[in-house]
Amino acid sequence: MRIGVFICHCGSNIEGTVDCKKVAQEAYKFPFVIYSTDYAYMCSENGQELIIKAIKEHDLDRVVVASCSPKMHEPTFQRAIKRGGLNPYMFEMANIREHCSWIHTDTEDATEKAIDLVKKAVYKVAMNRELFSTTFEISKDVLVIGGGIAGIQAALDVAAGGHKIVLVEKDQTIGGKMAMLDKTFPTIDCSACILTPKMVDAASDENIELLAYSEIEDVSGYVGNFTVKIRKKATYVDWSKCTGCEQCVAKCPTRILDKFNQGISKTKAINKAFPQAIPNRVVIDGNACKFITEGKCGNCKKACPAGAVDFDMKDEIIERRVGAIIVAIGNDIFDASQYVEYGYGRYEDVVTTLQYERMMCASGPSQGHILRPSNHQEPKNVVFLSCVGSRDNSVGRPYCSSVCCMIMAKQAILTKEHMPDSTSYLFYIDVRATGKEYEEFIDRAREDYGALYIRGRVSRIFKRGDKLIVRGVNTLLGDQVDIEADLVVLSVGLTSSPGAAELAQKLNISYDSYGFLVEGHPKLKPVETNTAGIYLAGTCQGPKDIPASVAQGGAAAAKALSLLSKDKLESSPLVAFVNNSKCVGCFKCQKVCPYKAIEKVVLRDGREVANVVSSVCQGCGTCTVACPTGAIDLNGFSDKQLINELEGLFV
Amino acid sequence: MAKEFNVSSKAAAAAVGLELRELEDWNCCGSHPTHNIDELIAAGIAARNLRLAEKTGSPSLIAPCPSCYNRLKMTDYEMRRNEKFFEEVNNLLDEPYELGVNVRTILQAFYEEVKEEDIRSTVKVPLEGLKVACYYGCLITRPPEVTQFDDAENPISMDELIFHCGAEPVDFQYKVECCGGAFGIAPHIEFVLEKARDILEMAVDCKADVIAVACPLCQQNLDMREGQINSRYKTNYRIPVVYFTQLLGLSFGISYSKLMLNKHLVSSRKILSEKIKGFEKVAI
Repeated sequence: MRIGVFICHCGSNIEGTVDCKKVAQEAYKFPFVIYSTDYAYMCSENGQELIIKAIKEHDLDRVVVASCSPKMHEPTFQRAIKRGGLNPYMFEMANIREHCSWIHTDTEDATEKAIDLVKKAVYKVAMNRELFSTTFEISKDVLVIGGGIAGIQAALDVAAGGHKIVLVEKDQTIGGKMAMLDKTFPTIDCSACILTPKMVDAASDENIELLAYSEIEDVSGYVGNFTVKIRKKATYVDWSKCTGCEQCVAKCPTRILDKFNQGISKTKAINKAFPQAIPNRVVIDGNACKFITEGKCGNCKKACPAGAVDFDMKDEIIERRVGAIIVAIGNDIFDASQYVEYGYGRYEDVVTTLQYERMMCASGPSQGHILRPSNHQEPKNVVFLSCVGSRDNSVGRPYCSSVCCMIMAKQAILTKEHMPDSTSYLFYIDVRATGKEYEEFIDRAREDYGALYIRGRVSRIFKRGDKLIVRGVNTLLGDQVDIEADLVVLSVGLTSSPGAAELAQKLNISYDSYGFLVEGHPKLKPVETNTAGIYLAGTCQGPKDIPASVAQGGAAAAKALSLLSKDKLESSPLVAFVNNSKCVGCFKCQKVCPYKAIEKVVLRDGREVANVVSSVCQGCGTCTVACPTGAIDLNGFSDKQLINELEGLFV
Repeated sequence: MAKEFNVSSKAAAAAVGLELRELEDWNCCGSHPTHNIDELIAAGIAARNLRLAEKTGSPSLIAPCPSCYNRLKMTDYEMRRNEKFFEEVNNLLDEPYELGVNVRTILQAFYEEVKEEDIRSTVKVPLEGLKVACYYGCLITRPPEVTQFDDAENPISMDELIFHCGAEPVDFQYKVECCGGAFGIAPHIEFVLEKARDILEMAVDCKADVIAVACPLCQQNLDMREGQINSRYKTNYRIPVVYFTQLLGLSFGISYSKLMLNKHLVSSRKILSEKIKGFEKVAI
């Protein structure tokens, strides 16, 4: 046995606290260590060459690198020693950065700990054996969850690459939040005009199976072989017959709040979300429909010329097998009623930016005429408040929602265009306009459209007569200001989608304390997750605007395409295996396995024993602990390796 | 000072079976100037009261004055979350305070301890027809993480109590504005008059007959300044400022003079007699 040890300085990251030279010297004292050295950046090309050269010159058969976390560079060094002619599993890493230099300050103690960590790795690598990957078949289909602009873009791009897509949308139409917008910044182009063609493309692409009004029930499997159960919620309308003529809607007597119009108008219990909805079909709200709740009415059924209404429809669970999953479930908006002092929910004339968007939209409830909800008169003074639910610890939202400043400026411009006599006041903390041509857009709002920016927060909104008084501070003048408003628009922040955490658990991916889904690496893996084969796009990962959502949708599609460009994937050899002679067939392992990777097999002598399906096993090691006879062991983390590692620490 | 708050609180509480006992040997709450000079000593003064209350075995200490309430509650709050502070304060005391008291305002006590049906069944003279602007002031609900009572920006507890007595709480927009009372002495008089004026104006705009308060400083500052405000701003406000406990007491059939409603500068007799049917039963 001939072990080589390589200690990395990581610039001053490690060397600043750990005496790397000393660690390298001490390593010579450990058994079988033939060669030991230190170097500034072991992951650099020179560093890797140094390892390769040492393997050849000193005829090394095992390598230990002491540097950063294996999450960072284990694959890098494994590739290097493979180039040096060794099996990549004849390798161990000692993490002397995250586990040592970064968290300690005393050089002497830190050096001692680093020596121990290297010693542990040397004892473990002595017990390593060569391991080899196998390959497995994969499905070439892709699941996209969420039919907003990010999901649509991802679906179209993957479909263009020739793969089948299953596009699942929980609402009755695709289009997401973008479909609710009137205009988009910084070009003031019509949101529907640029979105609806993409929606139609998504619905008509023969590679895309669109499942609207559906939700993810369960996900099992692993990269290349996910099995997804999808709940198709009962629409009470047979969509294969419905033509979207809406004759039923006219006859329905039950009025409910219009979700698509953000509750500022009513729709019917049987309804289409909006005129350009895709699929162009109606849905019955089962909680509101008189026939479903009370057994009376049935007007829609009588009115439907296609005989599509089916009150007996039930939810249906269907199953699809896919190789990759793109999560694009979007965001929700902050509940502004948490700011009681702003009176949202108490004063009709206090609305959110998304409600105001519907008020301005030509396809909205007032055909694009801006009217005060309280008296249906045109407002004269419109006051905007930024950071409602953003950058405010008191409501548990310390983050910037990134789009609200721009939305507010856009709406101030549109307000002026709709009502040239109006005045817009905009309370702001900072104007965050970092995108391309964004700052110029803010300037235009101020200079060409007379938007009056007031730097400061609003402390209270109250009613006086039929006006709203907006009381805030002007921090530039150091003075209190009262503005008499006809309409107040709260530029609400972005929050995660309500079901995000639950879905993340089904998918086995991470989410943060706000419910946003966590990317694989904040800089280098912006669309990946920590689960192979699952990618993120759009605002489910964090607040972002339309251009960024579209870019991320495309990026997620590219990642999925490159994964699925192979016919087979290589599986990790770090899996569990059963020693048949020790197995007593108790199947405790089967009960604890989170991946359903253990099956029963019958041996020739008739004994029933456990078998690990290595393509499904994720190498978590739970079964090895559960096994009462020690029949199961885990490649790369065998009992022998771990015991020797521990022994090393105590000799 | 504020004798009528004391008397009316006790009388109204007794009528609905809420038992109030005066804390024996109580001392100053440690409000300003003490807490402007030495926070620790101010807390020690407050904590002595908390310990005395704790020893009586009563689960809660009611402080009718919001400023006392604030000092007592704040001290309790800080001692609960800061171990070092807890020890420092207790080192000043003969007997350590063991965090066994829930400090509440009189408003909170009525709201949390008395059931709606008990109030309704005690009402003998419903205040029907009387429009009341419920004014909470700046301290009763704030800071919200400390007080943990009602909504800090739009409280409704007093409105509900008054409503159960038959009166009509108006949609008053200045429930928690500052009355300026703490700046009562010159050279801030201009500021104080302006703040108080705004509150009176809003109450009148909201068509209130009386302003109900739960703080002696608010009561005095609003009631006593109406004359000054009228001469300064050429206005003519004559809106009575009464304690909510006086209104509760009145509806429970306790007489006008017993509740010391005659102590205020702006008399409420005329408006109450005009608005409340059966006022003659409590008119003495």
